[in-house]
Amino acid sequence: MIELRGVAKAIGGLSLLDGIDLTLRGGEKLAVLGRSGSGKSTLLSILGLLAEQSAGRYLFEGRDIARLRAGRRDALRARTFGFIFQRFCLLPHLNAVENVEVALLHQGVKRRRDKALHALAEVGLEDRTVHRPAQLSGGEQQRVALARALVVEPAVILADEPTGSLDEETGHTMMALMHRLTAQRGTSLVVVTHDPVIVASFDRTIALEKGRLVKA
Amino acid sequence: MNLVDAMRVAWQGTARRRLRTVLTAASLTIGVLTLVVVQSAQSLVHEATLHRAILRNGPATTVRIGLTTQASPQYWRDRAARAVPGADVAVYDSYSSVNLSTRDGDPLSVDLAAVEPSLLRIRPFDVVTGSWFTEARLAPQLVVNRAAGRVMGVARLAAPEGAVTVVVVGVVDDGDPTPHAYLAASDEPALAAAGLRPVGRSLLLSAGSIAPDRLRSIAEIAGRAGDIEELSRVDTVNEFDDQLATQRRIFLAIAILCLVVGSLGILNIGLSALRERTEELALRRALGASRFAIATIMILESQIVALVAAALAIVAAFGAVPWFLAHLTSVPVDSAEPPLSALGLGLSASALAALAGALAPSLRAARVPIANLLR
Repeated sequence: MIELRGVAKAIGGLSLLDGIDLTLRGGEKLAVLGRSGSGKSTLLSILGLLAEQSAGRYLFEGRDIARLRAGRRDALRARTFGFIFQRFCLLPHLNAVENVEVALLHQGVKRRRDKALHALAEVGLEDRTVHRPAQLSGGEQQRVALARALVVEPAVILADEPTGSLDEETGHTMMALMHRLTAQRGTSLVVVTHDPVIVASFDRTIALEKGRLVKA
Repeated sequence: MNLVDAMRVAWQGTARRRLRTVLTAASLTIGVLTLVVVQSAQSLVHEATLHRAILRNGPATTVRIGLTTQASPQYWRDRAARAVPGADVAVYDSYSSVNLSTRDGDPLSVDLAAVEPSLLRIRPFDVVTGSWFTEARLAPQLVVNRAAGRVMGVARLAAPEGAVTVVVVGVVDDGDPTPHAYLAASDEPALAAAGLRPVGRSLLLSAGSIAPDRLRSIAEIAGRAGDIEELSRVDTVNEFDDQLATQRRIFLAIAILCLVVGSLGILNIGLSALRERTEELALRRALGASRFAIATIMILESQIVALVAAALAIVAAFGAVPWFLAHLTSVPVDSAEPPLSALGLGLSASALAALAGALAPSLRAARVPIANLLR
C-alpha cells in the first residue's frame, strides 16, 4: 500500500533520515524502534504526509505522491491516516465527543455526532462523552484520541509512542484495544514504541539508528 | 469544511478566550465609536442645518430679489411668475422691530414681516400650534415663531400712531432663534394707517432651477432694473457644509487613527496568540483542514471580535452622540439618535479594521508546520 524508496530527510544540513526503503502492506502491524533522535518521528511524519522527504520516492498504492498538489495531499492524508500522539493532542476547550468530531468536521462529513458517539462507545467511553480532556484520566484521553483516529475509518493508523504518557498497565490495555479495533477493520498500524512487551504483539518490527534502517 | 462549520469553529475559538476577545474588541470599539459619533453628528448637524436653512431662506434654488420699497409688488410678482412658470413667488416686506403685547403680558420685541401666505411654499415652516393664517378676518392676523410663542390670541402691536389690535393665530418653527412675527400682506393697510411702514421689500422666488443672471436680464428687458437693489441666491447650506467639513475631517482623522490602533491591537494579539495555538492549528491541519480553511477560521474569529466591537460601539453611540452634539456643536438638532448609515459605517469599519489586523496572523496560521505534532 505504501512504499518508501531511498527516502531521506535533512533540515539545514542535518540528516534526519537517510536511504529508507520500507513497504507497508494493508492491515499490517508495524512497530518502529529506536533511540531518541534516531529518526522515528520523522519517519512517521513522512509516512503520514505531515512532512515531505528531501529525497527518494513515496509511493501510495503505486502512485508517486510527489506529483500531488498540496490540497490533494491534505485530502489524501485526512482520508488515509489516523494519528495518535504521545501528548494526546486533544483540544482542551472541547469535550470528548467534540474532539472526536473535529476529525470529521475538517473532512466535511455529515452526521458527525452519531459517528463520534459510536467511535467513543467502541473505545468504552460512552459515559464520558461530555467530559473535557482536563476531566479525563490519561488513559481515557488516549482512548478519545484513538476514537478520533478511528472515526474517519483510515487505512493506516500512525501512533507516536501512544503509551509514553501512560502507566504500564494502562499502556498495555490501550495497545490491546488498538490491536483489536484495527484488526476488526483491517487497518494498518504503525507504532513507535520503546516497550518490548508491546513490540511482541506486532507483525513486524523495524529499528532506526541515526536516521538509517538497521533492522527490517 | 463549509462556512457554517468554519463559523462554529471560529466561535469556539473566541468563546474559549472570552476576556481576550472582549479586551481586543474594546481597543477596536474606541475607534468604531469615534467614527460612528463623528459620522452621526455630521449627518444630524447637516440635516438640521439644511432644515433650518430651508426654513429661513428656502430651498437651494431660492432667489431673493431685493426691491425698492417704491417698487410695485404686484408688477414683480406677475413678472416673475411669467418669467419662471411654475415658480413659487412671495413678496416679503420687512419692518423695524416692534413691541407686541397681550393684555396681561410684558411687551415682546419682535421682528415683523408682512408676507403672503404663499411664503409657506418656499419656506415650509412647521406649524407648532394654531394655523398659518385663516380666512376669518376680524382683525389683522399674526403668526409668530417659537421664540415669540408665548404671545397667543388677541394682542396689541405698538405703532407710531396708536397700537394696532391683532390676533395671533399660530406659532411656527421658522428656524430662527430670535422672536419673529408674520403679518398677512393683505393686512398691511391697517399697519400703514397706524404709521407702520416697511423698511425693506423683497421678492422670494423658488423653482427647480433658476439662474440669477436670467432673472436680472428679465428685469433689464422689462426696463425696471432700477427697482432691483439686490439679487442673490439665499441658501446657506453650502456655507454651513464647508464649515462642517473642516470639523468633520479633524474628527475623522482621529477616528481613523483609533481604528488603526485597534487594528494593530488585533494584529499584535493575533501574532502572539499564534504561538499558543500552534498545536491546535497543526492538529486541525493534520486532521484534514486545508490552509485556506485555517486562514478562514482565523479571519472569522477576527470578524467575531469586530462584531462585538461594533455592537459595543453602537450601544455606546446612543449615549455619546447626544453628548457630542450638546458639547461640541452649537447646532440644535431635533433627534440625537445615530442614523442607520452611521451605524452601518461603524460596522463596516470595524469589520475592515479587524480584517486588516487579522490578515498577517491568518496567513501565518495557514503555514503552521504540522510535522511538529510528532515531536
